[in-house]
Amino acid sequence: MLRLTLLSIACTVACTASTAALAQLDFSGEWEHPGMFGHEDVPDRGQGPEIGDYMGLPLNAAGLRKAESYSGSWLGVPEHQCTPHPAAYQTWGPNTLVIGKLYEPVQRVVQAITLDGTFGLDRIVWIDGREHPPASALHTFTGYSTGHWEGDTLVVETTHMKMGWLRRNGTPTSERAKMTEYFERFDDYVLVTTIIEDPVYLSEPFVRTTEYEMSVRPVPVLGYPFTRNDGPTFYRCFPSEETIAEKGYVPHNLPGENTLLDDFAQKHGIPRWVMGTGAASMYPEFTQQIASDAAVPLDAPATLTPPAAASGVQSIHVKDQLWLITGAGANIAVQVGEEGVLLVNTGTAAMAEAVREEIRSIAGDKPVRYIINTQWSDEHTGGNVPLADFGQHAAILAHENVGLRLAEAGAAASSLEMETYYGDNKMIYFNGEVIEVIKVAGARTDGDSLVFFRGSDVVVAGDVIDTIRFPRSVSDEGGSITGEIAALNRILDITVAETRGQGGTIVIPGHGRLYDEADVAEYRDMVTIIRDRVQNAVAKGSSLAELQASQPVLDYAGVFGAPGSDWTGDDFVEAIYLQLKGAQ
Amino acid sequence: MSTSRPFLAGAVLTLASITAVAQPPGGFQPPPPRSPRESAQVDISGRWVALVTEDWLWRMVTAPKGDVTSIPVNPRGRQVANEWNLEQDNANGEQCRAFGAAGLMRLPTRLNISWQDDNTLRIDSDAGEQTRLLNFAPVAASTEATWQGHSVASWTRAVGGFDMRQIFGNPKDNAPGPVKAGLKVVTDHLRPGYLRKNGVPYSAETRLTEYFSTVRAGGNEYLSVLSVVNDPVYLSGAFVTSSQFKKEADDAGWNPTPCTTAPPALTPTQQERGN
Repeated sequence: MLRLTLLSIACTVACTASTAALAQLDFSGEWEHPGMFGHEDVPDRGQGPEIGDYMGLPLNAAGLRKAESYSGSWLGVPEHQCTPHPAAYQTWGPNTLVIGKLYEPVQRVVQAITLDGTFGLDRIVWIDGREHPPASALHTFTGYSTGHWEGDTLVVETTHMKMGWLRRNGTPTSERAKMTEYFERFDDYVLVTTIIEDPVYLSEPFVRTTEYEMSVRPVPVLGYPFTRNDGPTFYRCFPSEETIAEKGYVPHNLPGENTLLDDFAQKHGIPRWVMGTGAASMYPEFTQQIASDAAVPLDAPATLTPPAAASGVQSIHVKDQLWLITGAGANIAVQVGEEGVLLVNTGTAAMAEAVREEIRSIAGDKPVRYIINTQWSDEHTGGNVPLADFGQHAAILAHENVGLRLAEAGAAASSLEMETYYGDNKMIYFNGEVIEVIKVAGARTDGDSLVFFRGSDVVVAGDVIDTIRFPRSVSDEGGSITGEIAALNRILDITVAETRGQGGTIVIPGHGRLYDEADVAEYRDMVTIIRDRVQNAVAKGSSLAELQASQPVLDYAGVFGAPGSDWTGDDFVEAIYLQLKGAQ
Repeated sequence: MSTSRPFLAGAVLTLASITAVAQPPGGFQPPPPRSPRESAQVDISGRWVALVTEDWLWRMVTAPKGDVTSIPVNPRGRQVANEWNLEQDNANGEQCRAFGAAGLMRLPTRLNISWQDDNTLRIDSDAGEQTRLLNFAPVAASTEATWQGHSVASWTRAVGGFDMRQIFGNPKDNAPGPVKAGLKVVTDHLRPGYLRKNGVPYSAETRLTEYFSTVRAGGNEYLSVLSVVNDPVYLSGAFVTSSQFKKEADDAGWNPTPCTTAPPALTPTQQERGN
């Protein structure tokens, strides 16, 4: 009886409490910014901010350089036209927000919280305790989000974001950014506090609060607020050639040549230097700084180490029949099907046994039938012989210059038993799909190949792409900056995004994480922009020392200039400089 | 619906039974009520500095006269904004119009928040040297309107910190310690002032509702203030903003300055040319 009474009292307390307390806990419903664009920074969120409006953002020198080089024409490039608002900007952009729940189908517990809206791409926040993917996984514009509760607050942590922006004027976030969001509900409002930490472009965390109010009308989802709602709600986007431009043209401003910055300062009556003050401009004392008209030095970018790679040999599933093995030298692509195993590159000889075990964990005892090499270096070809003997003696296929380079390097005779090609491409049919080996010789070396799995829709790029280092386009191995850019544009000819500029064709680089079309385009942009900066210096007669002093890779070194690497940004600049100087 | 009915019925029955049974003399004595300070759902005390990452061109510098960007002013509000006269304000001793409660938290300022007593939170700003008192206990409002008005505060979780998640939620989500919630403050009896330094007005009929909360990230603590300004005189709808502050370890940056508004960065002629 006593137990029953206590239970009833507990029940009563719970009933009394539930109305007030649960109202604070459930964000589900339809929300919109007050006044459609909110009541803060409406020009930024409506028609878009002006070039030069960098104040209030904790940009470091690298972030400022990237912002200043941005051109609004960037969005006219076909590969970028469908780019959605990235996660770092989503809640700030003009949008509606529909918060829902995703139930685990068997136990019927809430597995995830969904964030839908008119911002272009929906987000899923997993609250079932799962881990974030490994560093080698694909990044997206929305990133990968997990959540947990701290009292009434939903805390969302997001990683694996592609390059994005804080404002729609080129103020950047990098792929190494981490975002933490706090969703809180107060009466009929949801407050989202967003904190972005980005060691590449920010000198301290960027903090922004955004508010939504409960919508009194159904809000559009997966549409676009300015399109009619009587048609399909899926936000379609078809890239097209908007301007007549040379293939591979990348719009940008050379350092010091962005004239819009002076226009902005003049229009708003502020000193020009104010735009380049980063974190200092966020704090109250900056008002006195403006009054004294004394410029503030900008924070230098932090010295970064490469993203922590998984230790040892590991694998992740890429798509369909394709897997990626990392940690054995260069990346190894593994195609597994009814007919057996095909490898693209084999890592170093020292790691062959570990790779063999990893292949076994993926493919069981299926034999390796084919090996394709995208170039000649030991970290791509070192495991050829031991892995070719895994099961049956596999055929090794590469461009003929791979064999020649191996022979020159004194490789053992057994390593030279390969099928070579010397035309534009070579095609084989294996495991139910066409595999096209495409010559892009002259990028990294004179024996480079791409490998395109037509059925799986995966391209293996080899060292044409290295996601943690600048491309090593050195002429003494037959590579060149011109060949590198041509190879990247060739990859972009093949790739097709699934929706809103991401997904679809997956690209496995020689080193680092998985890419898709948007990533390749960003990498192509980086290489092209640095080439243009060097070219401009060469045209002006600058010495190499003068060029290096101008820090032409400043805005990209945080992603691609791993300290301690045997190929630095300075090496990359020097290689381009010597090639372009020699071509004069 | 099917599960809530028996639950509700049980509660009703229990309530009825408790009401029906006479209290024993000298029996159960409820604990003395905790003060608002003791029952705080969120600790916002400390020193905070504004992070002006939004509306920079309207907060860090004085925007041109008539610039009401982002604010839902009605025609009357727009007209008053167009008539703003900084020299006249200064001459009339009205320098603090931009430092009233409805505009204060958007200014580039530092805050020192402390408990004045167990029922009153005090917010001091170095910008304009203003003081706000957030009253948890009933306090009669002054008959005279003031820059900071009369504020009534309450914790947003009203049921004594009872966490429903402990019953219905995932236990692993419950960190030990007090339940995190927020602070709600409603302010009226305001002396007419400005929402921004360039004279965008709010009237004496303004009612300001604010929600305060804190989050911790990366070794820092942040204070968020969601602000809803309702003014039937000058606004066509609620003016909703949120501002963020970072906690500071000491008062090294504290710089009390009297109410001062710098002239707009652009002269009217420059403004006309720029636009």
